[in-house]
This record gives sequence, structure tokens and C-alpha cells, in this order.
Amino acid sequence: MTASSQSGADSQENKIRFILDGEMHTVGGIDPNTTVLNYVREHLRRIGTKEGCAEGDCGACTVVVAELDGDRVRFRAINSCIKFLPTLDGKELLTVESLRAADGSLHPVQRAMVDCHGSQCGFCTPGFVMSMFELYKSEERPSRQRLHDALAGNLCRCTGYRPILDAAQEMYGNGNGHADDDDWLRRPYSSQADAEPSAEESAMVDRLRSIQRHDTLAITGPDLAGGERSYFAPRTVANLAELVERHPEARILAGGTDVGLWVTKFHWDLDTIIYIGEVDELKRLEVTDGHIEVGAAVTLTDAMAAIGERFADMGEIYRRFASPPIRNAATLCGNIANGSPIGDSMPGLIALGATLVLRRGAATRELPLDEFYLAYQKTALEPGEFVERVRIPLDPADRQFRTYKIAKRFDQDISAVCGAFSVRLEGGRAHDVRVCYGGMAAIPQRAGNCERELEGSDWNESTIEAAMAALDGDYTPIDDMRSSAGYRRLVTRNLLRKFYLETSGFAGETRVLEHGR
Amino acid sequence: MKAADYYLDGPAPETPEPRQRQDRWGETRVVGRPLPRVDAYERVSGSAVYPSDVQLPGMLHAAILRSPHPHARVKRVETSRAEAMPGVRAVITHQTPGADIAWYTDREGATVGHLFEAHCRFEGEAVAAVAAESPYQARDALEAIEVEYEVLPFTSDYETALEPRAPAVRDGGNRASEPGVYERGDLAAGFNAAEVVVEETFRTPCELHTPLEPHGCVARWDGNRLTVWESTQGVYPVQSRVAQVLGLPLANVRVIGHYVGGGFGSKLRPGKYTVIAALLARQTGRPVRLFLSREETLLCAGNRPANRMRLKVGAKRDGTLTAIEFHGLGSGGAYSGSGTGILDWQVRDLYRCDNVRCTTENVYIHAGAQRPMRAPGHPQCSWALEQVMDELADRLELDPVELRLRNLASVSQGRGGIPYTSNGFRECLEEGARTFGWLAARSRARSEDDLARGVGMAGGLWIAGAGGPPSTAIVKYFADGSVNLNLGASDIGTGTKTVMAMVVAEELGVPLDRIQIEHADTATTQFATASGGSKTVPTDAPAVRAAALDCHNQLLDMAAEELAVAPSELKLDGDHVVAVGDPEKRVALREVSDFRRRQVVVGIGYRGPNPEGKATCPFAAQFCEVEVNRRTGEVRVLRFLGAHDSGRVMNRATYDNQVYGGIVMGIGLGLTERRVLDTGQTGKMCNLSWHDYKIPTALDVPADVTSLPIETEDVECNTVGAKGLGEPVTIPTAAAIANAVYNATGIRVWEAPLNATRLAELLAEREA
Repeated sequence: MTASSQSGADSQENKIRFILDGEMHTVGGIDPNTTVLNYVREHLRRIGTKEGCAEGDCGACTVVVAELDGDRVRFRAINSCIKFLPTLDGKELLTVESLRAADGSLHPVQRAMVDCHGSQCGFCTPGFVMSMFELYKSEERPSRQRLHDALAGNLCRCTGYRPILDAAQEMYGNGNGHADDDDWLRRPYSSQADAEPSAEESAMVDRLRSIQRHDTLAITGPDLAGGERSYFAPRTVANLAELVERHPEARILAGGTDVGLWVTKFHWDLDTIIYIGEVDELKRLEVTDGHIEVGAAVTLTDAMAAIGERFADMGEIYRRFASPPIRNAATLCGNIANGSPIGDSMPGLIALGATLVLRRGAATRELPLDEFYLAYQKTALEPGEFVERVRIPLDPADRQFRTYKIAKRFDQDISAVCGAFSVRLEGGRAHDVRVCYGGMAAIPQRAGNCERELEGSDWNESTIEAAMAALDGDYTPIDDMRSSAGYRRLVTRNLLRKFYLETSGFAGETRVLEHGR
Repeated sequence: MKAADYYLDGPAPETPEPRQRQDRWGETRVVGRPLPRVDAYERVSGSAVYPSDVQLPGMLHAAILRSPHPHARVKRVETSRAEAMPGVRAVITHQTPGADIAWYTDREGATVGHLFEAHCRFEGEAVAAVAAESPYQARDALEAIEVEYEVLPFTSDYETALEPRAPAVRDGGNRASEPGVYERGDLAAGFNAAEVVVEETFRTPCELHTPLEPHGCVARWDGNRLTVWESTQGVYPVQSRVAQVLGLPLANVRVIGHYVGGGFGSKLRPGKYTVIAALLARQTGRPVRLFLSREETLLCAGNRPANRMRLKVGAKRDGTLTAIEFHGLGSGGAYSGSGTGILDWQVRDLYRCDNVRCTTENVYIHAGAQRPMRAPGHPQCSWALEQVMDELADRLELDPVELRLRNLASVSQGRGGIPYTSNGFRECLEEGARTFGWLAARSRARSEDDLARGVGMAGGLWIAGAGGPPSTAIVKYFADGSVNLNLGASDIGTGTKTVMAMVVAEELGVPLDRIQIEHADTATTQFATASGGSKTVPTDAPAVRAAALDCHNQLLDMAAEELAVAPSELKLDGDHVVAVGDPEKRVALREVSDFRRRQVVVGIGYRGPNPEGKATCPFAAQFCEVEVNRRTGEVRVLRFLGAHDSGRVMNRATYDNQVYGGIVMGIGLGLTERRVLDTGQTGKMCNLSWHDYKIPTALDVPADVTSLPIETEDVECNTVGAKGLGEPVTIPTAAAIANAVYNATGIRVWEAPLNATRLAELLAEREA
């Protein structure tokens, strides 16, 4: 392996290039399965970034990746433990060591952590600091509730979180009055001051532009036993399709929040990886009159913003979906293609009538999402085929849509049951009824009996009672450690009741209180 | 039963009496203030080097092969394929010379388990270990070790472990010891006198510590001297065990633990990993890093045992308790007989009752050994006792706070009726209720809507928290008026270093940023017990104070000579010594000729004994408000208040942190945390990750948590007046939530965690 820091473009195309603390860093001849965390700790000897679980659950390994967003810079906090090093190509990496000034003075985020006693044993602290840094540079004085959300991907076993939440509130006041805080990275995001890029941001944009590629990044590196591994990051969907056909054995990598664990936990050898995160067409997120179209490389964070804006309940589901650093890396299409019976996107998307565009070579086909899942972890994807994008029809004005997640912990939890409901109420009757549950069968599955009971019926208590009873014929749930079959059946019925209450003018409260309300 | 049992092997050594006169503090200048932590900079900047961050030249990476079965016999281990793999430098098993080391012993001292065990009694039992050039090479080599197991039937349900058909964990069967019995008064008479009796069976889950930093160490040999960087709560227990196992003098084993990424009791003692790393390092002649994976920490690094408790309480109409009968069952796993350690303590001690009988039974199961977890036994007991008190209040139509106030104990009944050095339980209850707005909140509770609100409270005490000898601290006062503080204790994140520096600052007037701290290193500090059991501050702060006063007195003696004034007429004033009655008579310390010659004054302080015939305990009362969705069973904790009598507040900010952190850990016990064993088919653990073993996140904690110190003045417990805090803050939490859920719904959930599944089922059953 060779690594070097230098400024200016690197002529060798088969090396990973990223920016580290303002300087270009190139790495060649490294195992493409190397995680960012291991590289940072073992090669760069930056030991501030910690390993707590090596599977994206705890956030001790959180780093921030800066990337181009048009002519601006965007910061994302991600779990470095399950991110492969080659995916940093073309980005800037910031670790906790990047925040301290050259003279050793702390970043305003770090100062707030000191002032508020946000660090006890301190092992989670660098990860929290980086999640807070992303927030500091991306949002203007978030609400207390938003802080709970933004920091939910970092586990702490000492503080009870309150001192850290206090610090996240205080940090915005720390940027004033310190001479060393003139630096853009040390100033909090401000919609006013950041309306135009600062000189420092522009310099960062220039640095990032200087390492962008126009062709496929193809690198090879040694595996553990003297063999060789390959990694490809194509730029166009045509190149991607061609690579997938040429390397049918390759593992397609998007966010890596699942695939990463294959390496860190199962110790599998991923000899050929095709990374879709740099494919321009797949990075597109488009909203037309009729649809939201989400490309396969669009992260959950971005997808949820667009979908949640139009379907509030989908936004709520995504708030509880995994954790912020996971959502910053994971993709919506990856969640869909993964085919898990308890993926939280699917019931909602199926109820909304979403379709998938699948591609093989130059050929594409469109498939309703509820026809995509065939059996447990088996999908309609054919060899050489991949998910290009998902299309979500925008609702007719009179459509009522809700989706609810039931889990043991508010966030970062696999649902016991996830239910979604879509109905058009016309003349007091239900039409175009779509009811779908996750966690009730081996795949996300529509409730046919229940839908038939509702379709065309009067939207009233007795219809709902009948439809609740019909649900028992739709599913045969199991007992497992997440829940019991009996609970799943009970809650499945009660969620339908909740949907009815929320769409029939019920005046009482139906949802457990939020923080700070 | 003493708390010391939980962190010391054998009787506690004593330290000499402190030499210094120590008046109790009146108004303090430094102690008590919410000062920032002295080590905050390195923790927030990422520059703190934790044991798992230590990287040495030539360092190898080790991994342990573990039994995938809860019960199996290793018939054959074949390591040749693993040894031939690239990067592999050593493979050791129980057959390796020098690695056949006895590890677990029973009460009589007989060996019942080895470092590498051919008879595996839990999923995760160590079978072999590898050292390789990289972590993944070591893991791959583990997969290449061929082990032929004879899989044996297992017992993983502690509640059925004593049934005749349950497979035996040990030769003598699954009963770990004769049932423990505690009795006072006349139980039958007590129940006869009762006008109301509540009896119920409770269960609490097996809870896991899950500190953020995994367990492990880096080991390096220099000739016959071993240095270990270990993630530990106490470097001295690690040193003594490693020296004993490897047959080395203490002086040849240096253990360094400057930082530790959490422990919560699971890092009070060394693990097998420490010795395995040392063996691999000796065999390869290279430093070896051995840190457990997250999964391994969940399997083999201790747990809070699950408990089944039957509790029967009788009372008179006015609420006076007449009799308490308690039975507890638990398992410490395959290698610990302690499944019910101090489980019944609060039954014996918290409320006044003349007639008490407690029995506890311990069984073995095929699972990893327990280790003490934050307030061993107490949150479990609280889950039972405080729910029964709540139920009793309900039946007697008394306010739950009032019922507790009517049963306050004036002495420590569990210790034969000796007085407490201080007891602020009444104030915890009264002040806590007032600040929380208990009465108003209770009157707002509603239980008929789909969304119900309720409030609950619970009280508690912690058996220990007095601290005690031994502790030896050294304070070096340098020529420029700066200070080095030297103590053996670890700072596990509670702020030990900060509080100890504040004690020095209080006595010597030296600002915190002029105090250097040397700690948690067996080569450069002196013996200290492990940090845990809420005893670090009450144990070590008096020793530090004595050391600072020793310095202080020596400085005054020197100045006395210089000024020709009696030392008793002098006082320290910044970096000067001044005559009390004559401010004109003063001398700068740096001008004192004796001090100039020596350049340093060394003060030594010892922890004096605790008062004879008295008990010292911290007390607690916690209050919370919850919201429950009666259709789905979802529970949301809206706010919490912890009122704690832990004596003097040493640093208001580190104090509040303990309260917040303890409450949130208790929320985990109450609502989400539970080790799941597949008792039916495989005996293996099902939720082997943080994704499935659920500790609270920032979204699970109430937006509103209040810490209310009840600062009782305790002039007897020790010379700083502080009692322990780390454990009591998590004792009543889960029970308070259960009581709030009852208040909201009228449903009592006797089994923790109080999850949505259970609650919704109970709600549905009642409606049906």
C-alpha cells in the first residue's frame, strides 16, 4: 500500500483521492474492503475516532464527509466503521482531530461539550462531537426536539444524554467573541451569512472539484491472503450496466450500511465491488407533477426530506428509521432491494402505489413494488439486473394516507409491526383501498381480505370492525424476540382503528407525545 | 455482607490513620461548584489515548475462539491449518504448554474452569486464541481452527434449572449454594397483625453493561517484566490477578488504565483476555492487542442476573408495615454462584418493619458469568418492593409518598439496628414530591382515553456508598506553587480526577489548572481499590484531603521557622504564608529557605476508618410522569426527577451527570433492555448486538430530567462528608416507571422490561 499527501492533481488514476485537512491524500494498493475507520486508526494513526461495535449501531466511529453539492459544500456525518475507504474518493474527510485549531484551541462544538460536561467516560465523545459538528454546519439553531433526533445515532451509556443535548444547544452561542472563530468551519451555519459561499467554502469547493473524476474509478488491491480484489465506481448508468453485466459475481454497493457488516461481522471476502454512489443518473431526486422519483444512489436522508414533505407520516417513519449517520449513507433503493420483511419503507411505499424501475444493460422495466417481493429475501430481480429508481405517485387530493411503526424503542429499532393505509373517501365510502403491513409475513404484504372488506364500503365504525376482523385472515404472524404473534395481531387491528379515527374527525389525541411538546 | 465483597478479593487491607487533624468543612471555596472536568480537553479533542487506542511498534492483534454452544465438550482441536495462514504468529489452546491455567474456583478454592476450557459451559467459553499481524487475519485464522464438539444438553432457563430433568451445569447439580436465609422478628405474628396483605411475583431481565469501549488490553513484555494497558475500573485488581496467575512479583506487572470507556461494574476485575494477551505476547516476543468484539462483550463480559422475586407484605390500615416475606431466585451463570447478591438488602433495610424473612436461591445455568452491575441486586429488588408499596398505598387509599413517610426507618435494621451517620430519605421524599409537583400531577392523571397519563414514584437506598480504607494519596507541592496529585484510583467517567483536584484546591488554594494528576498506573501510584460501588469519592477524597493537609502543615512548619511564629498562628494565603493575627507578618512560599532547598513538599494522606457501630448509606426518591398508548402499549417517559441524599455535593455538575445517567440506565431496565436466550432450542443468545439489545438513545430519554440534591450534612461518615452517588441514582427508576404506568392505566406489569407487547396484552385482556 502506498499513501501520500500532496497538493495538486494525482496522475495515477488507480488511486483513491480524498482531501484530509485541506490537503489531497492519495491511497493506492489497499484492500478495497478496508473500512474508513480502520484506515483512519491504523494507517493515519488518528485514534480519536473509536470503534464501539463495528456495525453502525453506536456512532463512536462517526466522522464527517464533505462533498460537493453544486457549487456548495455539504457535510454528512457517517459511520466510518462500515464505510469502505474507496467510497471517500472525491470527498473531504473530517475526523475529530480536524476540528482542533493548529494552536490546540478547541472548536466551538468541543468547547460546548466541555462547558456542559457532555463527556464522561469520553469514549462516545468524538463521535458525538462529529455528529454535532455536522449539525452546527448544516442547521441554524435547531429546536430541542430536533437535537434529540440529530443525536440519536450516537449511543452514550454514561451521561443520560442531557448534558450532550445541552452542549448541542450551547454550541451555537460559542461562535461569538472568540478571535479564533473567524474560520468558516468554526462558525455555525447561518442562512444569512451562508447565503453566498465564503472564501473558505469556495476554496473547499475548488479542492473538491480538483479531485472529481469523469471516468470510472477502477482500483485493485491485495486481499488478506495474497490475492487481489477489485473495486469499480462508474460515473454513468451505462457504464454501470456494462460493469454489472461484465462482473455478474460483483457485489453492488450503495450506502454499505448492510454490506459493510458482511466484512466487519461475517468476515466475508468481497472480491469485486461495484459502487453506484457516483453514478450521476442514480443520484437524481426528481419531483414531477405526478411522481417523486428517487434514484438508487439517493440517501435516505435526502429521500426522506422529499417524501416526508408530501407524506408527513413517511417523514415520521424515516425519523425513526435507523439513525442519522446510517440514513446519511444508506439509500432508499438499497432498503427496497434488500428485501427485508421488516423494512420500514415498504408498507408505506406499497400503500402509496410506488413502482420500481429495474434495469439490465440498456433495457428497463417498471414493476409495482408489491409485485417485487416473491418470498423471504427473494425478489423479482433477475441476474444482471439492478434497481435504478423508485417512483412514488403523488396523491390525488382526496387520498388519505397514514403509516405507523410499532417498535420496542422509539428509534433504531426493527419494527414489530409497521402498517400503512391509503384510501380515497368519496361520498362517505372508501375507494382505492391499499393496506400493507410489515413484520406480519415473510415479505411486506398487502392485506387482501381487509382491503376487500373496506373497498366501496361506508367509512364507519362497523366497516372498520369488520375489516379489523378480516385482518386475522390475512396474516399468520410469528412469535419472536421482537414481539409475540398475539401482540402483532392485536396491534395490526388497532393500527387500522387508529387510521379510521384519524380520518373520521375523531377529536382526541391518537399519538404519544413528542419531546418538548 | 459488605459492599467490599464486590470489588476486593479477601479482607480489605487497612491504611494507617491519617496524621492530620481534619475539621469538617464549613463554607467551601471550591468543593461543590460546577467546575469543568480537568480532563475534558483530551476527551473532547480526541487526544485521550484509551487502552484500545494503544498502538505499539510490532504489535500483533489477537482474537479468541469461543464455543458456539452453551454446553459442549471439546473432543479435538486442530490448529495446523490456522497456524499456516498468512500473518498468523501464534495459536494457543489448553494443550499449549503454559496455557493450562486454572481460572474459575469454587468457594473451597477448587478449580472449576480453565483459561481454555475443554468442557464448555456457556456460549462464548474460550477454546483457543490467535495472534496475527492484522485483526482480520486473526479472525480468519479462528475460522480455520477445527474444533470437534460433542454438543451436550443445556440449561439456560434459571427458573427451571432445579427441576430434576434439567441438565447439570456442574458435577454437583445446578444448586449453587444452600439458600440464604435472613430473619428477624416473628413473621407469622406480623402477618396475623396485618389488615392488608399484598403478595405478588416479579421478574427482572438479565441486563448487560454495554460500556462503549469493549473489554480488552494491550500486553507487552520486556524480559520478565510485563506491561498491560487495560480498559479497567481498577489497575490494582488486574495487577494482582495477572501476577498471581503468571507467577510474577507484583513489581514485574505494570498495569496502566489512564482512561476507560465505561465499565458499570463489568471492568472491576481482569478478564481472561488479559492473561491470554500476556501469553500470546510472551510466545511471540511481540506486543499483543486483544480487545473483544461487541458480540463477545455481550456474551462473556458479565451481566446483571435476571431475578424472580416473590414478595409478600402485610400492613395495618394506617399503613404501618407489619411483616415482609421475600424470596429471590437468580443465576450468576455457569461460573458464578451469585445470582442474588444483595438482592434482598432493601427489603431488610429501607422501611421500618419488625418481622422480616428473606430467602435467596442461586442456581447455575449454561450462560456467561455475572459481574456486578451498577447497584447489584438493588434495582431488581426495587422493582418488586416499590411496586408492592405502591399497590399497598392504593389499597389503603394513601398517597404513595405518605405511605413511605409512615414507614421511615430510624436505624439500619439490616445491620442489627445501628444508626446511620445521616439519613435524608424523608427529605428526598418530601422535597422531591414538592419540586416535582407530585400532588398536582397525580390529580391530573387520566386513564380512560386511548392516550393515558400517569405519575409514579419510588424510593431506595444503596447498601454501600460509605467507602472506607484502604486509600493512600500523595500530594506533591512544587516550588512554584503548582501541585502533583498522585492516587491509584481510576476515573471511570464519573469525574474522580476532577473532584480529587478540587479537594486539593480547597485545602491548598491552588487553581485546578495548576494541578497535575498521576493516577491508575501500578508503577507510579499506590494501591487503590477498583472504582465502583459508589465508593470512589468517599474512599479516596478523604485520603486526598489528608495528603493536601499534610502538605499544608509542612509548609506552615517551614514558614514558622522563617517567620519565628508558631505554626498554629499561621495560615496559607495563596502562595504566601501569613500570621493570623498580624497580616504584616507574611512570607512568600518561594522565599522560605527550607522549601527553596527542597523544591518539593510531599504530603501523604490515608483514609481513616469509618465510625464504629454506624452505617452510611445514600438514599433516593425518584418521580416520573409517563404517557401510555392503551391501544399499542407504547410508553413514553415525559419527565423525571431524582432527589438524592448522597451527603455533600462535591461538584454540582458531575453530580447532576450521575443523576441523569443513572435515570436513563434505569429507563433501559424498565422499558427496553433484556438479554434474550433461546431457552427452547439452542440455548444461544438471540440479541447479540446493540441493535437488538436496546439501550436508550437520545430519543428515548425524557426532555425534562431534574436533579435535586438533598445535601444532608454528614459529619461522621468521613472527612469530606460525601456519600456514594453512582448506584442509588439508578435504583428506583424502573419501579417509578412501572408505578406511573399503573397510575395511567390501572395495569400493573410485574415483569420488567415493561414493554409494549406485555402491556398491550394486559390491557386487551382486561378489556376483553
